Amino acid sequence: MRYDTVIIGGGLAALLCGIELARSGKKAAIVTTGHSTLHFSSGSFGLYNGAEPLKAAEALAPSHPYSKLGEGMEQLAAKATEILNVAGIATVGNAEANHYIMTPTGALRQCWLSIEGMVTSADGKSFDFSDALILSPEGFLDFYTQFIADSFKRAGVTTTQSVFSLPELTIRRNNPTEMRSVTVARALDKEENILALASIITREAKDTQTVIMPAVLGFERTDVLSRLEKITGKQILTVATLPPSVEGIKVERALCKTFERMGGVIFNGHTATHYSMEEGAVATITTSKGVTLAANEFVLASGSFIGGGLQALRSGVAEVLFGADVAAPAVVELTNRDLFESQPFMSVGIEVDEQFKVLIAGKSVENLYGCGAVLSGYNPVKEGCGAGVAMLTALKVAENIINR
Amino acid sequence: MNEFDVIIVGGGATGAGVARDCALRGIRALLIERDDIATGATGRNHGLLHSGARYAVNDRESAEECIKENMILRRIAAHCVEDTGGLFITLPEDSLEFQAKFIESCLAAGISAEAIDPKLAIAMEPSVNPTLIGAVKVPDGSVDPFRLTAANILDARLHGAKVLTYTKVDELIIESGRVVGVKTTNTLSGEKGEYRAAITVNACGIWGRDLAAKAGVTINMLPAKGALLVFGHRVNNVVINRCRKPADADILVPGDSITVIGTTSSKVPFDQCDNMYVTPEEVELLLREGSMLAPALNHTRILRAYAGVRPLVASDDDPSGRSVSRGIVVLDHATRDGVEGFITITGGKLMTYRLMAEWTVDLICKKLNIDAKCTTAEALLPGSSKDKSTEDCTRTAVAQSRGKASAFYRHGTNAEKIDSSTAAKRALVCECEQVSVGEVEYAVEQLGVNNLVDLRRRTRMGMGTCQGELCACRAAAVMASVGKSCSDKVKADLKGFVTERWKGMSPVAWGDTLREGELLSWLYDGVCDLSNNGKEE
Repeated sequence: MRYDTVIIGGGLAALLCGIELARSGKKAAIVTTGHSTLHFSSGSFGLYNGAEPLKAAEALAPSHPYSKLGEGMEQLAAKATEILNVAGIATVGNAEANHYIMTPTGALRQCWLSIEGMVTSADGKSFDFSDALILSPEGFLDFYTQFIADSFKRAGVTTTQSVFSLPELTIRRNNPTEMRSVTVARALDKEENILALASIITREAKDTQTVIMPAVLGFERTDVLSRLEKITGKQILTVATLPPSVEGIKVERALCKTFERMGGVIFNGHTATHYSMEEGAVATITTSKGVTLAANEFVLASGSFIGGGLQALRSGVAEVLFGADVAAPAVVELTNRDLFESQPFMSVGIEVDEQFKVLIAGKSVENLYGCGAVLSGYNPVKEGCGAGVAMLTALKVAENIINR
Repeated sequence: MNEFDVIIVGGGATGAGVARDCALRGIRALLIERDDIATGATGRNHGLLHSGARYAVNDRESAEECIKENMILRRIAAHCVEDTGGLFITLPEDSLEFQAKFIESCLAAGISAEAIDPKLAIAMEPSVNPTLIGAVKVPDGSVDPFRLTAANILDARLHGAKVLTYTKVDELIIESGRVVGVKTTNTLSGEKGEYRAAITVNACGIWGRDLAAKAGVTINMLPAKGALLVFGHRVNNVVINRCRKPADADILVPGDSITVIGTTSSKVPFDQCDNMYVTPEEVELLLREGSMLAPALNHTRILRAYAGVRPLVASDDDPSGRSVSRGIVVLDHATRDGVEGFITITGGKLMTYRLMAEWTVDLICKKLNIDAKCTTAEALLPGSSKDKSTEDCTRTAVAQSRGKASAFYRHGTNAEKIDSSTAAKRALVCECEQVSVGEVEYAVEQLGVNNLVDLRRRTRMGMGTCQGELCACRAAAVMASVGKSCSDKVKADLKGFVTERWKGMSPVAWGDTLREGELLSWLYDGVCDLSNNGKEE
């Protein structure tokens, strides 16, 4: 099978790159093992920590992926937002100034974009409501409402806490591992359950106009929150739960659908295992299911260690498919003993040139581009830039391929 | 009431054993532990129920003690022990002559030791190195040191002993050359305390040197670090030892859902005893030697690395400190140093904790003129029962729920006290180790759990493949709702727990363990933003 571009990886970077290529008329294919790290998403997207992320990104080291974007960072950020919106993911926020999203432990963390309908704060201190009901499914252990209540209390918001159950969830709970985010979300895909929940909200909220819930409102359906708001007349906001992240899965699904709608093809459940080269360029890749794909360009968006793009061996770090050059940190140790200190392995990744072409044995491969978490030179957790690097480098690679 | 007959300092297996023995003999005892129970050497070893075979050739006395205690523990602590059996294997580079001597020494010490065909050994334990040229079957097993210590503490309390964890001894109260009590600080609340007793027992392991110093007594101790690795699944079902002179990393012990290889042995300075890190060299050695026992270790995921400190005591008659006593050391400081009311119990091993306690309490009885016989070799620990074997209980419980079956495995008959009457109580907090909400509540209410790390020691929550990644948050919430803690305290606890997990993961962070580490960092530093906890105001 022959494509214009084959993308290896199925996460945020791969999908954005794919969508951008597909909508510019390229015949693109994505090869993905399956669940991407979007399943652990917080429901928000970070560009860079600090009040003004674009300004903060100007002062980065040349090895940072952002430093290779050139002048166009602002435009790329706008394009990323636009693609999310095209995919039906409504977002809040902009690249000029960060806002804050409430985390599952009630912390307020800076972010660039957040999914509409989640609890956010413009200044990280206050909210535009003074009282709220926190409503969570009974027996749902992945969302601790007291964290949320205490966080609101610090911001001067009075809250009451309540739990709800639905006959379907009561049955589910007989299996001791069933009360997880996805189970609840799936139950809320059903109209009868939405109606039942709406009447519970009306009854429990009384005069309170704002209701805070874990982000489990619908799995297939994306209109559950707005349906509930419409029926109850209340403002409903959500906070991310512990994984699996329903919001992250919905983003993944929306982006996949958009890519396919624009003509892209997804080889799901395929791990790219082999490749062939011709005249210094990648000619084909072959997947674990024996499918060989030829293309003019290849994009390596296979992620870091979790994603499976990188592998830490006892002898060092390797890029799994091509054995591409890996930029290891100056220090010998991959880890810091303190989990909450900067972890050196976070910045480990492959080396790319100024055009994001992947280096193998010190030489840029003419038609192989790298983007997203497989790249080196940044710490997504400490810099709050994981999503930003994924999306912006993906769009830059797409731009480079289109202009090729 | 701050008056006791005996104060025991140290909540390891030995201290817990002394407290229980005192309580069973009607002696009013107070146990003081600066951290949680089983946090020192007790919880940082193989969890091997030694048959004594390892010591048979070089240390007959230890071997005899081990086999006797082995048989006693199988009876009194059935729910803490697993009868896995053990093999001592001879590899091509080892001498079969040693095997002959080994069997002879075992038999002389009362340890059954039967040479078997290497092919039979492979059939018994398929993970064993297939190149073996000899194998001897011995009655080794595995023992859960956390459960064992908790059961001793539970029984001590049932019989009237008082137990204070997170309580540090600031000073010994000395009046006219006699230790008459201790002054303490609660490390959680800062609250000061003063307790008096006719006798104070130093059961602090390697930290016993410092307590003795508070009485002006010198004990020449040598901290010997032993590092171990935990593998991600139960590679072997039978304990595998190397049939040679005891050396590094020559014991592979299965326990619960994992396998442990160890140990190394190296001298460390005293100031490192509180914070042990496993070095890359130790990891290398453990893997190299371990894979000689079971080659599968080379490609089995390593969950974590940990290390403990053996409290080796230099013989009193050797001023150079080189001659080390490996056996049980009971020091009556009245006769040794002229300090009345103060006893040190140290040396020994986890296997002999009960015997160490017996000797100590015999001495206490002598000093206090109490005529009471030791019954700890016969009296079953709570959780073990003559009528119901743990296996029977587990089998019945499996029909009801996996979580309940695991609970019986962990708590023996005490698992009956765990509420599993509703879906809410049966819901699983930790899926790797099948710990239910009811079990968490039971541990918090009945087993003296103060934080998530304590909870892990009582239930194995967070000890499985994911190392507490998702269950920690759930358990924190359940604990908070039982204990009504404020959320800042819960978050600090959560942060402490994942920090502790990572401490053991980072020395072996490659392959899937690094992936797990990346997720751990993403979740707790990223998604949850716990690193900024407490900085919000």
